[in-house]
Amino acid sequence: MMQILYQTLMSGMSSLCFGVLFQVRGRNLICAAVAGCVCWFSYGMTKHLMGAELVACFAAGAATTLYAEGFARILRAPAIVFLAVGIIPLVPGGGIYRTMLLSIRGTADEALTQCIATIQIAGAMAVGIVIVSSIVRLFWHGNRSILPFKSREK
Amino acid sequence: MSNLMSGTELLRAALMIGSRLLTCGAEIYRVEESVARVCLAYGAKSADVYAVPTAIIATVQMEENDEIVTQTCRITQRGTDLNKVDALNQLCRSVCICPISYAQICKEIGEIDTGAVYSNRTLYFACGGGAMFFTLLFGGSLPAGLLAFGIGFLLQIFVLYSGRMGMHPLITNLFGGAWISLCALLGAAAGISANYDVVIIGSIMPLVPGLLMTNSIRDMIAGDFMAGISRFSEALLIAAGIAAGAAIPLSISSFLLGVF
Repeated sequence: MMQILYQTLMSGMSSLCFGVLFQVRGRNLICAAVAGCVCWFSYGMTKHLMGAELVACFAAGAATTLYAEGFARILRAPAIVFLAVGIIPLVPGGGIYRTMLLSIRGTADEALTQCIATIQIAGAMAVGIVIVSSIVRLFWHGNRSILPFKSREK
Repeated sequence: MSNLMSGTELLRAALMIGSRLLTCGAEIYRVEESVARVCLAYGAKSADVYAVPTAIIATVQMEENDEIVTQTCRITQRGTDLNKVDALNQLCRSVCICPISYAQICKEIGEIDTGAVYSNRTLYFACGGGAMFFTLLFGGSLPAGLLAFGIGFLLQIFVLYSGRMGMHPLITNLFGGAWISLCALLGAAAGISANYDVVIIGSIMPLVPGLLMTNSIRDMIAGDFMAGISRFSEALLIAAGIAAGAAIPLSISSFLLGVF
């Protein structure tokens, strides 16, 4: 449990850094960093309780999307601002790297195994994201949060 | 409302927004929807937009004279600037509610183009910090994290300047990967962190296309197959460059010392 909390904090901090790299500013940046915590916490807890890697990735994708869509409505920003920064700790960057490293070394079997595992993780997250975002869009159409042009703050 | 712009001007304005959205890393469906909505808001009868990560094609049919206009826009540079995505999205929505003239749209877009960005020094620290926290997240010790901070800091300097010099992205990734694994091996040799694997994985996170991979599968699920496939192959190409670069110091060290 302590380990999950420590990792949650670390993933929030790395999301913060990546938010800066992605040019997110102001209060959006803080909320995007918290999205990173949400992502890792839901992943860690699901994995701790159920022990399944892919289910945990699915849950993390879904939870982060729910958070991102919620804050997109509150802060009137596109959900991708929070989502892209939030899921960074869990995207299978290491997996793609290992796949390519193994295939360069010439161990095709291991490379293929790693490649499939990587696609599974990315796929599980993508499915979680797509399901939640389409459900949210079904029930809450975004048009209410539009500001007319004249009253937009400069 | 429909007299505000001619078909050509409308399409040019809509594609200026669309191409910037795509360059700044917005989703494909957002680009298509934004361009189409702007066109419809200005009194187009129909608007068909097709976007892939490398190009946008849009055709509008105007209401008053059935004039049909098509424009293609090629995208060569892609990055992630979510602040601009936010600003362009706001502009797009406000234009749809309250249409403004072509000159005004150009002025608004110009303001977005010259909007505030983080200074290079901030980006160096952010990249270093990202590498450090990822190393800690993947179970590295504190010295390993600090080593990763240094690697990431210098990596970002290299990436920025190689981009400015117009270096091919594959070469940038190749050198970036080589730099990271060389430093991680030297760190292991100097006794900072024996577990160089964690340092490598943590430090390459700013380079590796994990987000690209996840987005490509998202695109495919959403029905944008061309966009999904092209992002997927871009992700594989970037990863191949990094891994090839990282493999050079690793194999040299295994040849010389027999570790690895």
